[in-house]
Amino acid sequence: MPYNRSIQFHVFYKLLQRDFHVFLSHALNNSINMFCWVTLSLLVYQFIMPEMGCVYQGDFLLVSCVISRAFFGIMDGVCTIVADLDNNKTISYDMTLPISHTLLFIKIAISNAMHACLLSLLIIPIGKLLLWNYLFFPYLSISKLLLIILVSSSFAGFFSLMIIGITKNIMQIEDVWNGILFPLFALGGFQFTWKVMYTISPFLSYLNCLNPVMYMFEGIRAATLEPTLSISFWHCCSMLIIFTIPMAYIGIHLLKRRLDAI
Amino acid sequence: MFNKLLLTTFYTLLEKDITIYNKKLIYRSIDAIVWMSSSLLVTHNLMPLFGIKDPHYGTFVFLGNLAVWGLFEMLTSIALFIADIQGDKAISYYMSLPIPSYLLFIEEALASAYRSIASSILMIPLGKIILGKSFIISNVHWFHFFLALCIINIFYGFLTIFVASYIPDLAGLTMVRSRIMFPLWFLGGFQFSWKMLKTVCPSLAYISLCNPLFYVMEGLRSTGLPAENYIPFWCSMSMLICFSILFAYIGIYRLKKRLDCI
Repeated sequence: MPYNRSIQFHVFYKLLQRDFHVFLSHALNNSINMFCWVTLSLLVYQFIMPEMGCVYQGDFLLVSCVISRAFFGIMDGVCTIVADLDNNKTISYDMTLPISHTLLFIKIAISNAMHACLLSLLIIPIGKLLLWNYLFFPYLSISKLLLIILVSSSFAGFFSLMIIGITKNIMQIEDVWNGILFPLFALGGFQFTWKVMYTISPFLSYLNCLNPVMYMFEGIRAATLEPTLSISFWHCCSMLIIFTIPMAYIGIHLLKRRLDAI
Repeated sequence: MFNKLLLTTFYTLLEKDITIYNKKLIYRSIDAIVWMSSSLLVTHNLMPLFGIKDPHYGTFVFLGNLAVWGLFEMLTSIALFIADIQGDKAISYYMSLPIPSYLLFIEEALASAYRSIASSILMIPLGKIILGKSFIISNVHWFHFFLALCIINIFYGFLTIFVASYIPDLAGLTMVRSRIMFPLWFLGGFQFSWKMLKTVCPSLAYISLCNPLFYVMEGLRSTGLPAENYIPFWCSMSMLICFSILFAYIGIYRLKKRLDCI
């Protein structure tokens, strides 16, 4: 018998609240990890790489770090769930609650997205504090920045469902990192813009339009750096939303099949 | 008589680990190839547009990728080891075999070294294909190259034992990635040489000599690039052997205590 909709949303809300409390209990540790990462990246790109002739600026790299966090931040949630599926299967308990399994999986995606989003919001303030005199954002639009972080995290959250669906056990996590996440990230434009790629190889740059991570990087650059550097902001947001829909569908389908869900 | 039995047991255990890994070798090699391709395509073709003029930069990154691959494999090896200690505890059976426990851990380290060497072998021809004329095969001192590859991966094997001895559970792997692996990697000269760091910040360069990853990178790069730009090959290898002995000693001591070995 289908559950009453208001009960379902109440359970959904309570589960999200529980995940948020778990997130808060790990927030300090995660923030320290992130702080190490942002500091080292900025130090290397701002002070050492120019010695090699590299023309990177700290602001270019810092906004790339925000997206990296939003994208990679889902992996904490993925590891926890894959480890759980391997061992205790506490998710079986969640599946007995009065909430449809589709909604339960959407909750997992939103929870992962929330973790990725909240921590990535801290990166620009941390970077600014570290390199006060070196970072300037004359083109920054805070509303666009918040919107692109939200849209990127949502995409990453639903993408995490697909990753959980295809990762058979915790030992395969490294395959996911090296075989899926890193190539999407490296070719997505952590270190370059789509327009630069187009000047080298128009064919590859058009092929790269199938890489959703590219829209995440281009979108945040459009919101914070000189707009002529990147693809139009609204185009990036639309493409990310379009990519989120099949990710959600495939991810939920894979999880349902894996967990024999109804 | 005893020594022969001991060596046979040691060899058989190593053979068992190698056989188990070989079943997964194709997948792992594909991961390595995907990772290497995406990284090299970006650095070789796009980075010159960001101001990098060094004609050897592609080879520089290629050798760096090859050198650092074992660090990624380290995570898999740690995950395997910790999952066993937390779960099936197959190690308890191996500890009942006629072999001292320290040899058991050395075998684990060597198996880990095999995993990273085997999965990285295909990266060498791939590097040549991507870099083309930029990677001059005749410039590589092949004996030094393969010797370095062995010493580096054995070093990673003992680093695995050392790090695993400090990790309480699988959840601790995230911490390993953020607080150990990333700083070692990023400050270990993946994107710059030690001499370059010395010109930017001599004090940081001298502190970095405590980072074994610098010797990994410099050691392998000095076999295929102008040696005068890097720390001398034998100096790097000697330091890696010293670090291996240190990590082996501490790691084995801590694991013996943790597993109540005799």
